[in-house]
Amino acid sequence: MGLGWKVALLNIMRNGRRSLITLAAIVFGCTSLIVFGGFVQSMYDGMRESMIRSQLGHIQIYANGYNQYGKAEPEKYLIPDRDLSTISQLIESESNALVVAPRLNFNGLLSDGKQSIAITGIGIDAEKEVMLSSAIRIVDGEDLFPEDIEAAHLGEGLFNALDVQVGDYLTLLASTQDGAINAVDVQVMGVISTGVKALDDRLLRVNLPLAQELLYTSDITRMVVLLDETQLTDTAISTLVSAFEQHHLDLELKSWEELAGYYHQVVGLFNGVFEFITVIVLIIVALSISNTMLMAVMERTRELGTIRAMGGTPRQVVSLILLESVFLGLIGSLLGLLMGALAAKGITYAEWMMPRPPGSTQDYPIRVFVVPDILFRTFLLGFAISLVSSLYPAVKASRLPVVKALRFT
Amino acid sequence: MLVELEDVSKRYQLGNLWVDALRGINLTIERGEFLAVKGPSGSGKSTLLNILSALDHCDSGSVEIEGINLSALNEHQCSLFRRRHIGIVFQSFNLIPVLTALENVIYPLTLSGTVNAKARAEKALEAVGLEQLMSQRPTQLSGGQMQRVAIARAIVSQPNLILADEPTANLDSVTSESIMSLMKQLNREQGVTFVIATHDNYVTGLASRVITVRDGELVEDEPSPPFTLQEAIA
Ligand SMILES: Nc1ncnc2c1ncn2[C@@H]1O[C@H](COP(=O)(O)OP(=O)(O)OP(=O)(O)O)[C@@H](O)[C@H]1O
Ligand SMILES: [Mg+2]
Repeated sequence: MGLGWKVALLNIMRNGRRSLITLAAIVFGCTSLIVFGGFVQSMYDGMRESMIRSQLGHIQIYANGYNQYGKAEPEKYLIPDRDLSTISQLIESESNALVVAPRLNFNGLLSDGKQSIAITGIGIDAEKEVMLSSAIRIVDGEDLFPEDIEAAHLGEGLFNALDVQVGDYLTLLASTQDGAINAVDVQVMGVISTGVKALDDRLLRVNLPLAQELLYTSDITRMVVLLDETQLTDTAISTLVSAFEQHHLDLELKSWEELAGYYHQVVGLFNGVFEFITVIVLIIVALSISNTMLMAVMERTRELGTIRAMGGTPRQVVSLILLESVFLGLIGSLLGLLMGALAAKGITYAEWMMPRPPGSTQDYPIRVFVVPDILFRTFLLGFAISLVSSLYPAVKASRLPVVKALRFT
Repeated sequence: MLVELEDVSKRYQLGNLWVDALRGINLTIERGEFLAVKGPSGSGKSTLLNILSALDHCDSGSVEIEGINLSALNEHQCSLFRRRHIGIVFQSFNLIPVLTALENVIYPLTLSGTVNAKARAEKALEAVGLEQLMSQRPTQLSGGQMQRVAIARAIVSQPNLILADEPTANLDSVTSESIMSLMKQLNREQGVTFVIATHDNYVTGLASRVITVRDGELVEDEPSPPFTLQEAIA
């Protein structure tokens, strides 16, 4: 039906304003889906990377059983001192790890002489941790250095809760491996923020030797591995698992994905929100298109009657109207992709600051990713919705009684 | 026999009033006739033509064209029937404004997927004397020229029956005459049957047969007088 395409196209141009309204609706829909989708993706990305680079690393390695029983009896599920160098060597030779850092976790009380606050403590290798936890921000004071034996970093919330200045000394209490109470003095070297408020309210970081002295052990809780890139996590885990098995090391591994329960909750929630918004946008677009197509049909009642009088079947009338919306859908969706991508780039470029998300302590500039998957999906949706919403006007046009349509002015 | 109407009636509802647009019409039309339908306004001429073109169904009686019983056809089949057998010429031309004259004539052929559509459409436009204006849009044409395009469009699929509802009512008398002599010429040279509803005495003067309807009834059916206007001009 060569002429059908031409008629459809010419009709779109004949009624420029109406077509523009329809196009605007499609473009608006596509743009908002692309921008919102890209924004959500960038949020996932930012949250993931900040969790990986402030606490989780890509892979964590524990003594076997730690995750199941270690909460109750942490002292029984430590990685023994004698295995550490083998493990480090294996990790460095078998995976493209940037950093491999030991951590010793403990719970304790931190006291300024007047009050004591329960803390979550980590003994760290300060030099390695600088790279591993690059997303941790020093709010006040200085970095930890291995030479500062008594130095400690306090989470922002914890620091504010105590009556203390940078440089002051505090007392740290904890129970040792065999159950005795032990205490050491720590000097406040700096105030840090991980971006997660709940953590910042309790976090204390000290050098590993100090933590080991406090707990009376030379073992560690876990090794944290940071890779070149997040995508490499799964392959790295499988090579490490077999390497550890070959060397008869009784260890268990967890990926950041398994550790980041909160991340998955947020992703689930926002995917739900995104779908809801998608539906609303589609409904608005559909109503607008079907309204303008209905007007188009009304305006051309007489012409459609003429086509029927010349022997056009009801089905041919339907396809004539649908053909128009195919064009509008194609043009609109393509324009929408262009607009969406431009808007995404523009917003990212403008570096507007985002309101601080709940539970977070840092501001971020708004970033909107241009995600090929989202572009493709949006294009299909834009195209499909313009077809679907023209269905009713098209069928209505095909059902007009011909005699009536011909008399229509 | 091309057309056979037996006891055809049609009534319309106007609010809670029933209007008998046609009452018990009996009519046969032979191939090659040039038939004029006359009658006062509201007498049922258009209704009759709509039924003949399968644009509308009658309430009772039977309509057979080319041996096909029109009452038995559904919407889709009616469309196919018109496509194959009927050409329609309207009072207000009803050309598709976005298309050129040539494309308007090609259009019905594309609906039926006819091959060679362009060549056939050009031939039809030559037959109505518009070979110079094929690429003009309807808005660039005069009323008479538009009606010529419409006639070309009606004959292009070589129907047996062309129905024209007051084809000259929107034209001045000089143009009307040339349009009518074009139709008459097509009737003579290509043997196409014409049924024309009209108030125009010039049209009835050209006809080979004139029927008169009044209040939905066929009240007169007679061949034209021997001295037709056409011969007077010729
Ligand atoms: N769709 C309709 N609904 C209701 N009544 C109708 C309809 N179409 C025609 N009629 C009525 O049927 C009767 C015949 O109408 P029709 O249009 O056939 O007359 P006509 O002879 O063509 O008149 P005119 O010379 O004015 O064109 C009129 O009384 C008209 O009002
Ligand atoms: Mg009429």
